[in-house]
Amino acid sequence: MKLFQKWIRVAKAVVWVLTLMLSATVLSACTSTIAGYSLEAYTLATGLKARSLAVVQLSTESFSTHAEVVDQLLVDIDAAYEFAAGIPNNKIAAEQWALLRDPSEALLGGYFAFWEIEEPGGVSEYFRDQSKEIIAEAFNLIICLEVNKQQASSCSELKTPEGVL
Amino acid sequence: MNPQEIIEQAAANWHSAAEEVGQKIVDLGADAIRRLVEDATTDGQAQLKSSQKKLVEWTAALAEGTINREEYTHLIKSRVSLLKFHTLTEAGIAQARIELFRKALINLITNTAIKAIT
Repeated sequence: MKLFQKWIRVAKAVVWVLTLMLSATVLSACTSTIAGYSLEAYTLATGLKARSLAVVQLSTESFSTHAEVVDQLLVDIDAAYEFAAGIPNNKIAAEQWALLRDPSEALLGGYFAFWEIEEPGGVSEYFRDQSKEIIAEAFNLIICLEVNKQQASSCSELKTPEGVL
Repeated sequence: MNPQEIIEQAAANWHSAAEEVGQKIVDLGADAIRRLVEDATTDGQAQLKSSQKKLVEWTAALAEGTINREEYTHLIKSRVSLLKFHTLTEAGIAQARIELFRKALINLITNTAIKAIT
């Protein structure tokens, strides 16, 4: 009887092993819910943030003077969108870039459209500075999402080489 | 140790491993959900506070003539766009946390299995 009980315990242990192995296999086989962290995407976002804010800084001057720089920047933002959209399971990051560049929204694309159409001679300093804060925050959110793919982090606690996000 | 003792030891190991895995899964899941809710709540509250503050500032700037009506309207629109951006980001962060949880589970199960065997 004692031997039988021992064998029951052993059988339970074997079932356990199989359950653990099966669980690990099933979990590994599940498709990722989101793309993994990409250093390239992170670098792209931080670089474009710095460039975008530098171009926005020029917007108190005439649009035509800086039209070429704006066009080049928007092409690079488009490229960042295409890069994000090309990564599997990266829909939300791609949507972030789409929202940022959309001229009908009031972020980077919308800001340049406003400068070109509404105030081609240059916007007010106050408006520029307030818009810069908003555009910087949008970039920070792109960076924050990328960082969170690697490690759970609160966006308000993140730091970049330029300081707190 | 004779073969019978080895088998008994193995069975005991697996029993404690089962308990350990169960508890750690609960801890991992609870921690992931707690952090997600905390961060989303903090972000939402900060957004609301910041939007209210900005609205007051911009309205004063319009009244003082620092900005014109078109700029004022654009700033309000930009705040709405930013709120959309925050919502989108929160959804992405939730997905990222689920993915981190899944990876942590795989590691936990694999490590526990290895530990129990050795």
